[in-house]
This record gives sequence, C-alpha cells and structure tokens, in this order.
Amino acid sequence: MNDYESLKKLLFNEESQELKQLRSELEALLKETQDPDLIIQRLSPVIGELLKETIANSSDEISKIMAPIMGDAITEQVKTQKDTIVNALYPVMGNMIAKFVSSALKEMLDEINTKVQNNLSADAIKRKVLARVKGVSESELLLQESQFGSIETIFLIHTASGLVMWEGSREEDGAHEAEMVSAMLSAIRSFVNEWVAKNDDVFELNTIEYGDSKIYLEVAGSCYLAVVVRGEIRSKMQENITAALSSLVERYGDDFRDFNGDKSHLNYEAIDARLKQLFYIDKTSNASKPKETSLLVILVPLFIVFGLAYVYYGNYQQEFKEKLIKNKFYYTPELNLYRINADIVGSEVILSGILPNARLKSLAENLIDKKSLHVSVRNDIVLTTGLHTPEEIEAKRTLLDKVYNAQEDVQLLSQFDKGIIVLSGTVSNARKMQEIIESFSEIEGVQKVISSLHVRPKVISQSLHYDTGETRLNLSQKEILDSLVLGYGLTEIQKQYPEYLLTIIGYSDGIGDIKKNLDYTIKRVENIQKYLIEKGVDEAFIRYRALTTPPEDYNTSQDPCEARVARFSWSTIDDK
Amino acid sequence: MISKKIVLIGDFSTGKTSLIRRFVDNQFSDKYLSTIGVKISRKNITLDENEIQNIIWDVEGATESKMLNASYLLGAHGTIVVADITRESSMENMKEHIDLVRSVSDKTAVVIALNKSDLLPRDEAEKILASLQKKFSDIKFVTLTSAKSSEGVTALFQELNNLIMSQ
Repeated sequence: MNDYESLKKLLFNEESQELKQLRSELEALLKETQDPDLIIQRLSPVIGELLKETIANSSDEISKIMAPIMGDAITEQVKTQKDTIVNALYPVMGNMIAKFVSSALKEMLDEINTKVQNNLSADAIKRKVLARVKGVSESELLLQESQFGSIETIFLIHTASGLVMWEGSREEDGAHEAEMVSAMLSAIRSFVNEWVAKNDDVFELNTIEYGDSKIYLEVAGSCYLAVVVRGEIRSKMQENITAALSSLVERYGDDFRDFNGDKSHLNYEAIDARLKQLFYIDKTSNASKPKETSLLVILVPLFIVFGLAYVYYGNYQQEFKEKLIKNKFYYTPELNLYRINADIVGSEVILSGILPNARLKSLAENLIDKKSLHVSVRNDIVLTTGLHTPEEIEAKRTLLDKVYNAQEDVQLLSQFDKGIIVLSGTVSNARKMQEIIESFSEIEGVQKVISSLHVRPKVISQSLHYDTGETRLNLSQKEILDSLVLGYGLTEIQKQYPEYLLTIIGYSDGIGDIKKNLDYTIKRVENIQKYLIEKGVDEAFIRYRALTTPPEDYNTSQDPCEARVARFSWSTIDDK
Repeated sequence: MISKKIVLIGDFSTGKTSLIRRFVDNQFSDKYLSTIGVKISRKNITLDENEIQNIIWDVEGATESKMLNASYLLGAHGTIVVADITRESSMENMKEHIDLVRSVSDKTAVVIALNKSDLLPRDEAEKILASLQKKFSDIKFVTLTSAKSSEGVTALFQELNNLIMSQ
C-alpha cells in the first residue's frame, strides 16, 4: 500500500498540486458570484463602456426596452427627489414658458393695439359705456375681448349617416379629410350619447376640447354643425352658430333629412354663403364691423316689423273670435232679433245688450264655445220687460219670417195684427214647427201666436224626361227613381207623414194625336209606379195623374222634351 | 362626388377589419386586434363611370355580453353582415344582426360575407354558401370572401354599391 501511495505521489504529484490550486480558485470564484459587492466592484469599470457600445449599435431597441419604464421612473423620481428634478428642468422650463407667454402676449397686445387704434369706433364707445356701467376698467374689457377665440373650420354633418354636407375653413386650403373627421365625430357622438342614455339622461355632447382648441357641436334633428374654435367660445359666437343652423334647417330641413350622399341635391351655394358668414361675423377685426352694423340695420326694422305683426296678429285673433261669436248669434233665429255685443278683453268675452228672458240670456252664453276659443264669458246681458210699439214688433216679425223662409224645408207665412201673430205654411218636421212657434211667441209685446202650420214632406225637385214615343224607363231615369227610394227615403217618409200621398204627374208635349199622347203618358206614369213598387214603396202610397198638356211653366220656345215629363208632388189624402 | 355610408357588422373576430384592410389598402395581417368603438376608412370606387366615395364604418364586433350599438347603423346606405365560415355561432347570429339593421332602417342595402373561406375545402365552403343563400333568400347578395386570399372582397363592395345605387 505504501508503495502504491508513494508511486502515486511520485507519478501525480504535479497534477494533484494543480488540482488543489484549481479547486481553491473555483471556490474563490463561486464565492465572488454570490457577493453583490464584489460583482459591482468587478462590473462597474466596464458597464459604462457596455451601455455606450449597445446604444451606439442599436439605439431603437434600447429605446423600446426603456420606454415602458421611463414614465414610471420619472414619476418615482419626482416622488422621491422632487428638488433634483426641479433643479434639472428649471433652466429649460423657464425658457420654454417665457417663450410661450411672450408669443401669446404679443398676439394679445397686437389685438389690443388695433382696438385702441380704433378708439372712436362704435365698439369703442360701447366699451366705454359698458366699462362705466359694469364698474370695471376699459382695459379689463379689452383684455376679455382679446381672449375670445376664432372659428377655424366648420362642418355641416348629416346626423344619421355622418356624411359631410358642407365644410369650410378660415384658411384657403380647407379642412383635411373632412369626410373622415365628420364620420368619426358622428361615431363619437353616437358613442357618448348611447353611454349617457344608459344613465337615464338625455344630454348631447356639446364640446370636445383639445389643446387650446375646441370642437363645438350644435345639433339640430337631421344635421349638426361641428365648429372648430381656437381659443375661448363666447356666447355671441354660440348665438351666431345657433342662428345659422336654425335658419338653414328652417329652409332646407327636408333636404338635410333626405340627404343621400349626393351634394348636388343640396342648395350648396346658399348653404355656403350662410355658413361662410360665420367666419366673418366672428372676426373681431375691422373687416367685421360693416357686417355687424349691416346686421343691426336689418335687425332693428325686423324687430319693429315683428312687433307690429305680433300686435296685429293679436288684434286679428280677437276680431276673428268676435266675428265668430257674432256669426253664431246671427245664425240663431231666436237671437237674430236682438242686438247683442260680444267684446273680447284679454281672454274674457263680455256679453252686453238687452234680451227679453233668461232662457235667451243663457242661450247666448252657451253658444260660445269656450274651450275651442280659450275664453271665459262674462254675461252682462240685461233682461227687460218694457212696452213695445207695434212697429218694433212688426220689424222683428219680418226679420224672423225672412230668416225661417231662407231655410230649405220651411215655407212660412206670418202676419201680425193687434198683438196676435198668425202663422201658416209647411215645415218638414214637428220639432221645427215647434221651434218656429216659440220664436215668434218670444217677440216682446206679442200676446198670442195662432198657428196653422203643418208638417209636409220636402218637395221633390227631380223629374223624368222622355223622347218622343218612348214610355219605358231608361237607365238614368231608373237611377233618379233609385235615389228617391234610397237617398230621399220614400218609404221612411210614408211612415213619417201617413196623411200624405206621392203623386206622379205625367205631362205630354201636346203635339199630334191627343189619344196617342194620353196613351204614352199613362204608360210612362204606370211604368214609374211599377218600378217604385218593385223597389219597396207601398202601392197605396202612390197615385198618378196623366195629362195631355205640357206643364204650366212650359213655353213653346223650349225643347218639346221639357214638356214630355213626369214630375212628383205631395198631396193629402183629402185632396181630390 | 356622391358619398355613401357603409357599415360592417357581425360577431367579434369574423374579419370585418381585415376585409376593410384588404379592400382599402390591399393588405392582410394574421394578427388579431380587437376593434374598439368604430374605425372609419374611406375608399373611392368607380361604378358606371360615377365615382362613389365609400365611408366605411368598421363597428366593434358583437359578443354575447356586448350587443351592437344600433346608433352606429343609423343612416347607413349599405350594410355588410360578416360571419366566420368556420364558426357556426357567428353564422347563426347573422339573423339577429340583420333584424337589428332592418329595425333601424329599412332602406339600407344588405349583403352577407362568409369570410375566411380559405380555411375550408372548396366544396365544403360552397355547400355552406348554398345553404345560407337559401336561408337568407331575401338578401340579394351572399358570397364567400377571404381577406387573406382576397377572394370575393372587391366583388363584395362592388355589388353592395350596385345595390345602393339601384335603390
């Protein structure tokens, strides 16, 4: 064993020495990798070089890797080492802000200068007055004015489809990608409105802000305006925009609603002219002044015209209502006799005049349709029972007589003598008869009304004409007879007026053989009777007469056809 | 120039955005990026010597929990209902989408695109096409499309514009 050991030692002495050294070196290395301090110590001299090299070779990649943590890093840094950041940025920031403020101030100053230069203009005077009234300095007002924004671009957009109907820009080159912008705006509007609607409110998206600009949305039903404004939107500007849109919608609302993407269907020039005005009205420079004054020149007379129109319309309305009420009185026979005034004061109708009894007084009041006229009624009508002269009574009787005789179904004869009115004639129904008798008895001073009025069917004005030798009914004659049965209601009349009979009277032209003529006439009226019976009219209700002569009102210069006629009349059973 | 609003609707991930990308830019990408809200594109096409400007609304796809926002469909002159031919449910839901379109506007021209046709064997794709043409007999144009191979994409938009102009 010893020999072996000594042989081994002899043979591998060098290697074992090297192994030992390697082991101790490896152990030292392992120890180093676990010691952060040592790693830092080792790496720090080279890390700078390493980064420099990598950034130089692939800066894009490094930026991509770093980008996500940059924001966090800065935030963290601001949180922990605010002062350091402030110190680092201060010199740069100061310059940046100074540059921005000075350019903004310069613009403002320029504007103020122009305003001061135009010191004697109407606006300047207005401003001076305003400054006094408001108790602020004129320069403050000037400052306020100079902060107002200007309209840069306008889009008129079809609400539903989001297609642009008109677009214009203050600058010559116009808006870029108008179609895309307006479609996207519509989508944003839809999105926001939909979201708001889910929250149970109905609101519109009014403004979208970006940087120092705003997109102001003015929405009408079928279209809306998207106005890009740089700076602040003032109320005057909003008013102008609203006015422009409403005037366009008023005139071309239907075109807008039916817009199908084809601008040639729109009145493009008119829309162009109206919307381009917005750029000019909005300008606070000199150029806008003539426009503003001209607007005033139009507006003032317009106000006067509208004012007058309003007053006139009010009067017209009142007169119209008064006329309506008076017409009602006029066409009511019982009230027609009296003079009743209806004056409208505000929403009240004041009735005045004299009436003989309370029934007529309330009738007058009830005739006014308070609901549809939107009025209340003050009934100041006075009742009277004074004495009346025969002339007064006679005048009222004549008037009433005329009023009733104007009605189609009334044939009336009235007479007044010694306090008594005598009525005779015919009316078409009993209710009407009663009304007439009452009307006459209500004439003041009349002691009694004696009536021999009776009810009688309406006169039949239709008649049938015949050709020579013709006795049968043709189609149009049958139609006339049908209309008597159905339209006029012959069978109903029979029930209503049992004491009346329908008489068919046949006339002849009187030319030629009398016997033949009589024969024709008889056949004609018989055929009519037969037809009516077929149609359901009671036979006992009809009688006929056949004559060989023409009607009394016929003269020989007329067509003989007018003489070959069958007519209808009413007779009572007692008539011969 | 006449402008027309065209809306693409359908279930999520049926390839609406890809169809538009193929039609407008003639490009295709396999990467799926879900559309949020609406994306607007524009493409002019010529039809019988008339130039028509298509304003194309690429509407966020419908999912079970999130229905289509009907107000995006308002005023559309044409609507393309897109389904994924490899996904049964997307084809089944077409009926619902078409009903929604009709309820918003009965004037809009509607066509159907069965997209991703490249993923199925030819005869199988054509069999599905035939059955859907039968099912939606009131829709005047039902076609196979592939945004990837560009099959049927131009024809789809061309035919839709034809329908819009003939109304």
